[in-house]
Amino acid sequence: MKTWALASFTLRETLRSRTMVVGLIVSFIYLAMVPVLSSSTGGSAVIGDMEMKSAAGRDFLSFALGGLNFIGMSMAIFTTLGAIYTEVEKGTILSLITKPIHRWQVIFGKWLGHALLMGSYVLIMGLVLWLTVSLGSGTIIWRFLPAITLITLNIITMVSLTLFFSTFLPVIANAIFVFLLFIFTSNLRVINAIGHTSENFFVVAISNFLRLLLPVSEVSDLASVVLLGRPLAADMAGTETATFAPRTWAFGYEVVYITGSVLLAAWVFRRRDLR
Amino acid sequence: MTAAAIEIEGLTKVYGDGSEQVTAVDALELVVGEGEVFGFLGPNGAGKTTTIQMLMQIIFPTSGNGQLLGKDIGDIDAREKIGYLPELFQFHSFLRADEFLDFHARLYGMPAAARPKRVAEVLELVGLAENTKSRIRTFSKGMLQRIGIAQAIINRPRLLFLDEPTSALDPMGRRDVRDIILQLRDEGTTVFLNSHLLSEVEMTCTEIGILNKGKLIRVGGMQSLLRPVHCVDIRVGELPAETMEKIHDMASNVEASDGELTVTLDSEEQIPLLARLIMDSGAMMREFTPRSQQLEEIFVQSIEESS
Repeated sequence: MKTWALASFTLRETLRSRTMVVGLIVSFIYLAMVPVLSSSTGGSAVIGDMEMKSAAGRDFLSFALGGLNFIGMSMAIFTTLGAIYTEVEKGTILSLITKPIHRWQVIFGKWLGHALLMGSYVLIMGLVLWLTVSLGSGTIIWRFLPAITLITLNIITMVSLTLFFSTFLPVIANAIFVFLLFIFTSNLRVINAIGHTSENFFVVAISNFLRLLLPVSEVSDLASVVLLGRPLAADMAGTETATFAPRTWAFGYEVVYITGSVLLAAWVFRRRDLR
Repeated sequence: MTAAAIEIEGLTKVYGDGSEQVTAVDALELVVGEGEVFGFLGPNGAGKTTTIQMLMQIIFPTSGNGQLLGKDIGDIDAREKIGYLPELFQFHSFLRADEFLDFHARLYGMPAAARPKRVAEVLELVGLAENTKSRIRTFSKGMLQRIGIAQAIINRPRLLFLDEPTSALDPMGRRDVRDIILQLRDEGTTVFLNSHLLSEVEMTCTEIGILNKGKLIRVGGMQSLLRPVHCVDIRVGELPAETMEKIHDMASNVEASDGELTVTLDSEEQIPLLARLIMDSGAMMREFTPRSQQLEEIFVQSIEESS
């Protein structure tokens, strides 16, 4: 009950934040622009076209999902950056941790609030897209449901990682660190392709291993594979290699990664002096 | 001796490493009985807030330990009966006053059915009943301090820590806080009051402890510390040397400057004798005020001695 009190409080607080409002505005603009962007990048689907085929619908959804994934992850990072650190800096944490609750409950409550909010945001936006395309094309694309679940998991991963860093890193440092990690792991495909071309299997193995640092790019690819049968990012970058295909177990690994991040956050916060 | 609400054994906090080490609290030993209102005094940087923060596990002691209400520091069950108002309390200001208190009541595990009544009671007690639906961000400093006290007592605490509770309040607000503390004392609540306002401590506390440079240099009941010492403040014209000599003979201490004398006597019976001596000298006496020792004097004296 106390954890839920903290979670619902966090959810309410975040919902009122400027970051969230800006994020929602950007999301709505994106949703409105997706048909235009999709057709200009080669997609043949236009909402409302009754002759849209299932494959074209999937292409459209995959493209939209990629954008949603990026916007969602950015929002997850920006709304969670100061979850703990700012509360400590402002002193508002004092009224929470001196109540009859464990410190891990503060972490878990914060995490739950952010994860619920951001998870719901992506699910709702995704389902709106899905319904729009399904109704427009007259074809229900069931493959979209596991794909949006994977994207939701990605968003929760970013929430968990950013929350972990917020237990000891100031907001700016946290933002830099998380984005660098994201950019680095998103571009491992290029390193892998170089290793593949030069037949340097050490580089190939390392690039594969480093994907574990932040599994969101791999899980995004997995979502595309589920939806399209191929990773969209690889398609666009033209760097698809057999050795860099998303691993099915990345989904399970991401669940472990989320759990680990939250537990680690609780462990770091457990004995921290909050002055 | 009543049961102990607070027991501290060798509590120490050291900041920094190597040559830059600073001992904020040094092997503090303290026992505060249940139902006492304990005034914790000390100059800035003495370690008062650090002590409270260790007791509330906001920071962790370098060594030593303590018990609150018979349970180890940090015990969750004990915390259900403890209230705390931090110094310069910061709020989640987007909430309304009633929402804020309801949230804190939830953190104390108070059942949903009991919360609205308790929230209304506490808002009434701290004088914010008319601001129940106001957002906290619209509150003045004094109102913020009141809502801070409200969240600290929402759970009907058996032990209450107040860190500078009146620092932002006007005289009326201070009086209200004093009344709240006295009411809590009457209800049997132990209050640990950290305050710079000595007059306030003098009016509300049953015991005091004085901390300097992390060490507890004086502790005891207010009555025993404020023992009558028979000081007399005198404003008088020039006294003959012979009279001054007699005053020195009868007093344990004489401080003289610019026609003002402060004479410390050994017994109350000497006061009329001193008055007679001055009258008989023919000097014009403009003021003759006997007084007992103030907390401020004890405080200053203790700090000077320990320094």
